[in-house]
Amino acid sequence: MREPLEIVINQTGLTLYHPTDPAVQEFIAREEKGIGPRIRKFIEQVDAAPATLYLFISEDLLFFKVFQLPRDTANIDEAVGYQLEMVTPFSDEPTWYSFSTVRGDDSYQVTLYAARSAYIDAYIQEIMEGEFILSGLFPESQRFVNKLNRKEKWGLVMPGRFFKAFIFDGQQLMDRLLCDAAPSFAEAVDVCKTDRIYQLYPDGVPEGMSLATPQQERPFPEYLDASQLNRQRPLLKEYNMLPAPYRRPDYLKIVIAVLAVLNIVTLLVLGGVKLYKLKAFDEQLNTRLEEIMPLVNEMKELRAKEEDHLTALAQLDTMGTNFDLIEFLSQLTEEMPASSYVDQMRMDPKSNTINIQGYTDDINALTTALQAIGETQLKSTSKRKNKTYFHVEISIP
Amino acid sequence: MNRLTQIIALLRSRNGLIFLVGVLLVLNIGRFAYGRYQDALDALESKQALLDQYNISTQSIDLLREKIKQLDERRRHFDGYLFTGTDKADIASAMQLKLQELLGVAGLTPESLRPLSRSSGKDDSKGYGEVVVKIRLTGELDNFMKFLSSLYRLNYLFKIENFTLKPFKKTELKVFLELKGFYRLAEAEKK
Repeated sequence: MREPLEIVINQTGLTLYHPTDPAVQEFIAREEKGIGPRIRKFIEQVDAAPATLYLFISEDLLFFKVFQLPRDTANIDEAVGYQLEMVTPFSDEPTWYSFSTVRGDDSYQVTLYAARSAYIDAYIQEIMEGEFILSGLFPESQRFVNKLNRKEKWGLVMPGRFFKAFIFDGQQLMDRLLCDAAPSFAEAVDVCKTDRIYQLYPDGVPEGMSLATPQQERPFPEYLDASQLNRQRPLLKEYNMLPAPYRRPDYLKIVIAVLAVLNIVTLLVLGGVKLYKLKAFDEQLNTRLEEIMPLVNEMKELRAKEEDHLTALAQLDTMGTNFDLIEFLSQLTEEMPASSYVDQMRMDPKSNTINIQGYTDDINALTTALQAIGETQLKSTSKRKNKTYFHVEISIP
Repeated sequence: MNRLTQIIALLRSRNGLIFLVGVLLVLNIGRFAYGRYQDALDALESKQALLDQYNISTQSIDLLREKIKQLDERRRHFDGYLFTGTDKADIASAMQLKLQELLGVAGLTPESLRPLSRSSGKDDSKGYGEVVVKIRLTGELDNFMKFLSSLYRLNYLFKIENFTLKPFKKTELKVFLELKGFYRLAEAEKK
């Protein structure tokens, strides 16, 4: 994948840099016209990304300030906007600015970059007319912020109208200091509080100068070459000073927002469909229950009626069978010997027997005959007046 | 450790707190929605189980209707043999009148005819009961047979509980008879 070209706006014109090799560069003087074609030509020459450009402003053109804001500041953007006129020297001129904050224990530390817009705006207009897409407008120091030193404290010394020493904590710029003369490595270490300090040599490292390499053992004895930081793509997360009208729409954010909305809508639709199905199923069940309830109620009534009937009909079983007295008397008349007479006949419901008392001439014949009616027991006999009085008991079914 | 410190510092910031609140809000909404969904599912399962149970229980409704029809018929037939009234005393009185009538028709002379209240509470609660009637009478055997015959043919249930037959004078009998008559209270049927 081809990387975007890096362009630095400085006091005298534009410097075009190869995306990964800072030694390959081209200068376009301020007076020159036709910036667009020159840029396009350089892009073809270095085989960079055809449309997107990384635009940087030379630190010499930028005002830098570090100041504090109270921790209870409600809106930092607004507060910095109010502070802008006081802390910058561009009181009446249109100013482009960007800032970053670091939250401290008692306050916010604000690092502010600001620039006059007029000079830069002319360049941007011309570049935009060349149908290039600007990914942003950053201070030149951000060209050197990448993933290499993200967990370390490090420094950067840049030449220019003044020498500038930048102090970074990982990817966060903490301060920028101006020096009249090129600081020695020891002075830079003293200022930056770290031995990992890079120095930029725009025209290449002078012959005979020895520089430290990242592979060396710590502490480093000399500066590291800042050009090695340019070999990686800059992060460009902070200090974008490009005004909103010039900014390329952040398609990633739009895509993420659209996807998020799409997800939420899908989630809601799925939830709605699920709820609708549940509701439809519930209504279906309710309808079926309503349909079946008359049958259920009828079943209950029928069960109650069945129990009532069965209880009532159980009365029949408790009644038992009626004793057929006519049949019994007929059998008795038929079976008893002619010489036998009955004095008393009594039913005993407890033992379910018929007790017969009377007299006969032949007790044996009588008991034998009565066996035909039922099981007969001779309870007692006695002889009086030449007759045999008996008491028999016949079991009835 | 450094990373952890950064995360804690991030969570202490306003954006971190808003993020945390947002995450908790989403989690709570999710938990609430899931709870409601589970409740709805449980309710539907209960309703479905109830419907299945109703379906099973009502499958045999035709058989039950047929059975109830037969029981109705049997009960109507059974009830037809019972004395019916709203009051037990009235029913006992009706039984006595019926027996008096039968005795008169048979040509027997009742010496006494006395009802005894001997019904059980359980039977009363179901609307059914019984009255025992003690009869002492005199008459010829043929007449007594006529009485028994008409008693057995009667459309009311009388059960002979006990009896004693003794000769009386030369051609007659002295009879002690204990009959049990069955009845149904009309009010209980209405309930």
